Amino acid sequence: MSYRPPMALSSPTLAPSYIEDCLKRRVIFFTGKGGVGKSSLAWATALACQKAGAKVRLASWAPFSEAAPPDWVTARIPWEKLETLTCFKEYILRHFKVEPLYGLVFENKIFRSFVLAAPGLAETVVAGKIWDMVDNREQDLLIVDLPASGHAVSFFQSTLGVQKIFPIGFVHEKTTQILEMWKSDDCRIDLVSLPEEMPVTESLELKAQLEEVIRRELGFFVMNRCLPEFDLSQPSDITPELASERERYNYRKEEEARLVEAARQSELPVVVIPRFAEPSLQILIEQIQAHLTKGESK
Amino acid sequence: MSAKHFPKELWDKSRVFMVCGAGGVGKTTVAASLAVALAEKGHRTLVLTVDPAKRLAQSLGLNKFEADIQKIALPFAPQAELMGSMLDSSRYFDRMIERFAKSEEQKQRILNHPLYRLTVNHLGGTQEYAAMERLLEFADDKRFDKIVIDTPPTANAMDLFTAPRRMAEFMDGQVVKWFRKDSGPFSIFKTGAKMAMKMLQRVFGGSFFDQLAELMQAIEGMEAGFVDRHQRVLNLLSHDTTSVVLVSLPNETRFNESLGFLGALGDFRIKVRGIFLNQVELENPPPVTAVAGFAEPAKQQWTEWLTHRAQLVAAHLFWRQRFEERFTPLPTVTLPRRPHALAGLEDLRDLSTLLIASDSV
Repeated sequence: MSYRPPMALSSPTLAPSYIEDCLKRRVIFFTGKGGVGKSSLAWATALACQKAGAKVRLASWAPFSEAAPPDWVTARIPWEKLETLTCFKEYILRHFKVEPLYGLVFENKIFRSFVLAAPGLAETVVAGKIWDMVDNREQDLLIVDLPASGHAVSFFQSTLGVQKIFPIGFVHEKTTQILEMWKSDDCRIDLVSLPEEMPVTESLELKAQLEEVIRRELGFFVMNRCLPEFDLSQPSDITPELASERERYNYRKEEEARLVEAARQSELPVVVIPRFAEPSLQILIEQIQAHLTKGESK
Repeated sequence: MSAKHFPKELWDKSRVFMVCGAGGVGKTTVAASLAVALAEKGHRTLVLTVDPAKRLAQSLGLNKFEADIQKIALPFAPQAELMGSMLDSSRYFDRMIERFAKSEEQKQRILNHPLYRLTVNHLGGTQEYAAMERLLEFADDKRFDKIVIDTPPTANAMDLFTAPRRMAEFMDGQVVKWFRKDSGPFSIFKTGAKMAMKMLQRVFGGSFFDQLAELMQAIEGMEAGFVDRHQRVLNLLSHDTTSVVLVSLPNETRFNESLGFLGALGDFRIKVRGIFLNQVELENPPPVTAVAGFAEPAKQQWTEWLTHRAQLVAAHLFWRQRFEERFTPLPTVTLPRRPHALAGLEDLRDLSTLLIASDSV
C-alpha cells in the first residue's frame, strides 16, 4: 500500500556547516541503526546549538523503553519524554475541551490498551504532539531523538497512513499539517551511522524508505566514531609490533574511507565525528559538542 | 564475575539459547558462533536468525530464502548437524490470522479489511512477535537438540518480551467485546456511552471508527489463541532448559541498558544466565617509548595514535570491570574486538572457541 502523492522531491538547501544549518531549522529528527550513538549525537547537537545562542528543547520518543538523557543534560536543556498516553490526553483536552468525559472514555483500561496497541495511533499522536511543540514556538529549535530504523519508518509512515484513512475532518487536517511540516525547510531528518558495513547498509536502506514516505531529501548523513587522522607512513624501518599497529590503522582507515564514500554516494552531505577514547559518557558528549562547535563538517 | 567461558553445565543443560541485546552489539555473530560451537560438539543444532548482515548470511549459506530450514555445511566439521532458518516477518500476521481464524469467511474478512492491511504494513515490532512465534514452532521439535535464537534488532532489548504481552492485551477479549454491538454494558454502542462515542467520533471521524468496530468484530473469537500463545512464550522463556544470554558492549550507555534489562526481565520471571561483553579492545599497543627515537613529524603522529589506542583499551577495561563487579555472580565472558571484519565460517569458529569450554559435551 504505497502512497505516491503527485509531487516531486523537494530539495532543502543545506548550508555547508552543520551547526549553522541546525540554527535555521525548527525541528530536527535523529534516526539510524541501533547502537550508532543517535541519542548522544542528539544531545551533543542540542548543547552545541544552545552554545551558539539558540533556545533549544529536546524530546525523545522510544516506544516501550526508556531513552532519558542524563541529568546533567536535562539540567541545561529542557527535555520532554513523548509518552503516548500523556500526549494523547493533552491532545484531546487541548483540542476538544472535554475534561469530564476524558475520564469516562480515556482512562478506561480497555481504551488504554487499545491506544497503546492500535497500529499507527501512538505514532500519529506523538507526531501531533511534536507539531504542537514546534508550533508553540516555546523554543527556537526542537531536537527529537527517534527510535532505531524500523520504528522510525513506522513513525513517519503512520501519519501518512492515518491521513489516508481519514479522508475528511479534524484528524485529516492535523495529519496534513504534520506532513506539510515534515516537507518544509523548517524540518530536517538526519541519519546517524558508524563507518561499518551493517550500519551504512541499513542507513542507505532507511534513507530510501524515509524519502519514499516523506517525499523529500533527508538532512545530514552523520558518520559517528570515525578514526582520527594520523600519518603513520614514516619511518620505514620499524619493529614488528609497530608494523602490526600500522597495519591495524591502515586496514580500519581504508575500510572507513570505503564506507564514507558509500555514504557520500547517497548525495547527502556527510558529517564526520571522530571516535573519542573516553570511558565517561558526559565527557564523550562534551567532546562531540566541542567538535561540532568547531564546525568541522565535511 | 569474570569468566573465560560460560560454565559447562549451562551449555549441557540448556536446550534453547536466546541471544538478546540492543541493536548493534553483535547478537547475530554471537548467536551464529554459538550454534557453530554446539554443532561441532555433536548436537543437532538449529539457529534461527532475523535479517542478518549479508556477509554473515552468506557465510552461513543462508542467502537463499526458498527453503524454510537449510542445512549449513561446516567444512571443518563434516559430521556436524547445523541447520539454519531465516525469519521472514513480513507475512507473520497473515499467518497468525490463518492459524486462529475460526472459518474461511472470518479469515477473508480480516485479511481483506482495509484497516488490517494498513496495520500489518505499518506496524512496528512485527519482527518481535514473529521471533517469539517461530521459537514456539520449534520448541518441541525433536529433530533438534539445541536451538539458538538470534533476537531481532530492537531499539530496546525489552521490546522482545513486551511485544507479545502488548499483543495479548490488545487481543484481550474485553477489548474485542467493547466493539461488539450486543455485548451488554461494556459496549461502546450502548446508550450510556453515547456521549463518549460521539466524542471518539469527533476525534477519529465516523468512518474510521466504523471500520475499527468492524475489524474488531471480525477478530472476535480469535483472542484466546493470541493470549494462549503469549503464555506459552513466557513459560518457555522461564523454563529451566532455556538460557537467556545478553550481549553487550563496554561503554556507559550499554552498561546502564544491561542493568535495566536484567531488572526488567525479573518481572517476567526470566533469568539471564550470563553476559557476553563483545568487541572489547584487549590488546595493548606498544608503549609510546617505542617511538621515542622517531624524527618529527612521524614521532608526534605515532605518539598520538598509540596514546589513543591505549586510552581505548583502558576505557574498555574500565567498563569490563564495572560489568564483572556489578553483575556477579553472573559470568561475564569477554570477546575481543577482531582487527578484521568477519569474513566467513572460519571466523565464526574462531569466535566459537571463546564461547564454550572444550570440556563441555
